[in-house]
Amino acid sequence: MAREYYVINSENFRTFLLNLSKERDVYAPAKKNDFISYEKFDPEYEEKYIPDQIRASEPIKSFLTHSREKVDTFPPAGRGHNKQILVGVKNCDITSLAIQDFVFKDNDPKDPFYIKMREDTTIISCDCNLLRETCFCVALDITPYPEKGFDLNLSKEADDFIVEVGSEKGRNLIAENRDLFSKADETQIKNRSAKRESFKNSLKSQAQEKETPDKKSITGSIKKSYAVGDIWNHFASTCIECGGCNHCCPACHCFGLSDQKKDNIKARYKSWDACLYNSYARVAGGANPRRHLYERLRNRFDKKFEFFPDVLGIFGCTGCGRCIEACPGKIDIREVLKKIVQGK
Amino acid sequence: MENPYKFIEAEIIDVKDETPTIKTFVLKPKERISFKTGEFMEVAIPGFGEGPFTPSSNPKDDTKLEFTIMDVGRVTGALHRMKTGGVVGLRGPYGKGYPLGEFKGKEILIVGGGVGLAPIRSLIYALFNQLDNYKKIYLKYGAKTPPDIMYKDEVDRWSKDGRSDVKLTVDAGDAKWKGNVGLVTTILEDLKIDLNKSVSVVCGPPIMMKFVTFKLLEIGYKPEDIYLSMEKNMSCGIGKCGHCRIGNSYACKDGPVFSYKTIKDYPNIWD
Repeated sequence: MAREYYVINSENFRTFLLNLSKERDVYAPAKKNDFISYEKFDPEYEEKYIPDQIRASEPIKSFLTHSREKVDTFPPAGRGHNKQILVGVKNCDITSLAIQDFVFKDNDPKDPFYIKMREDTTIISCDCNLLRETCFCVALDITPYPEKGFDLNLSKEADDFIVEVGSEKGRNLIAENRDLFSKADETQIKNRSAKRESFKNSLKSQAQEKETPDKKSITGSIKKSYAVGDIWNHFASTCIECGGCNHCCPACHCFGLSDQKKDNIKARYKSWDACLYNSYARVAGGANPRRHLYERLRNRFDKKFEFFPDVLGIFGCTGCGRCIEACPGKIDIREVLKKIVQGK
Repeated sequence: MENPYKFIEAEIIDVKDETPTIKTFVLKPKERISFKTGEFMEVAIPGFGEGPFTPSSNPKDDTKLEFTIMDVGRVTGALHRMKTGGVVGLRGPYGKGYPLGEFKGKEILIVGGGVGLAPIRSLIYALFNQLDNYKKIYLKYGAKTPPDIMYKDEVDRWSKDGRSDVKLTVDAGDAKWKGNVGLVTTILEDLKIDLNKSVSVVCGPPIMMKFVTFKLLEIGYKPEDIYLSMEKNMSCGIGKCGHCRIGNSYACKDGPVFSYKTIKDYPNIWD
């Protein structure tokens, strides 16, 4: 399929979001102190939304699964949702959907709760153009712009966005608002490529400066690390098992099922779980296959860099760097990988 | 679309005391459920909690299911307080059971420890259902003390059946005990089995499975001929929640019965 490109100026873009928000919930990134996080689009504050720059603090999974949701019946009783549009999603999040889809959508038995949210979600992604100290997607061969997995993608070009169509859903959104868009010309698309290349290079320089290991050298390194003295104990020495790294990770998918009774009403919940928690692998009677914290931290890396490459052919990490920012123990996934690869 | 987290209700139609800490619950599900021996199910107390258990009953009977459960924690403790007429929830069956096809024409050495005899009971029923397919069944079972021996009547019956060879041991005997005293590995000596035409099945606590596996390897069993029931936190039962991972597989989907060969190279499998 030939790629389709359009251009929209900033004023029309705001009208576009306004139009979209009439029939769907639109979420867009907005600045909050030093961070960017998603807010529901409100036309009164249209100035504050920043589709470009960098990924938001929340991982995209938080729009597709709830941190805690009732799963007794499907469709869920007493909990409806509107169709939603996520604006400004970055490629680290889009890439993570391959993991979430693999777990919940593509493998039998399927999770109808996830599938329904996925179907009812439209993704208007955007190229990254702001370098954050914690970003390292390129080290894992992930680009700071998406080439698939979006409905529409935006690339900032002066005051305009170049818009690429990624799906039928995206094409329909443009068709519904055709007068807001004009066709992109060759020069604009060339400029986009040049910008992408130059931003990718700045990420590459950062990864080189920080000596972040690349995909090839990481592959197979965790398995080998089991034999290296107390390397994991050392990494875990500042971990307080808060599970922050798990919850902010766009690729982490683990959950727990729990049954509860309140006012004589029985309910079953599915809640995000974290492999850093002591209770995670514990079985009845108290035996725990990973009773030491270092084993649980190692397990997190094993799942991301051994399990997923083996079963799906991709890492369970997309280099978004959220876990680096979330960790109160200052455990930096890049530093851990670096030392693991060096074998010390 | 079907909701995989939803359970089917089942009525408790009988509760049998097996040992001071183990009970067998006979359940009649609202819909017929058929399972293959070694597959497991999630048993829930609605509004309270859920856990994975392997049915201990004959897979031929799809009108009722039996689960033999030891009181070791919150959910099992609550199950032990349930009585005939109570209602539980069932999801499954899940996972891969015993590969009976691989057992054809072979002598089958079954080694059980403690409550690990529960899935084995179902396996023995399944083997007895088509006994012509198998050469001989050896059961080696170890319990802590004589009162901890499960399924006493059935063990007696299996002992008297010429087609099976049963030997028991206890870690600590009492005044009436005339049998072997010692760990289950002590009754694995002097096996008169053609190892090239035999498979072994092990189910029990992790530490027992570890030492039995090492013993079986020492005796000469090949890693691919040793089948282990791995105890992991199988929470969702459908390979999604992540908890029961062993290396690059999930106990709930690829197990809980694994050949030793498929898991032996993963780190820390016995913990």
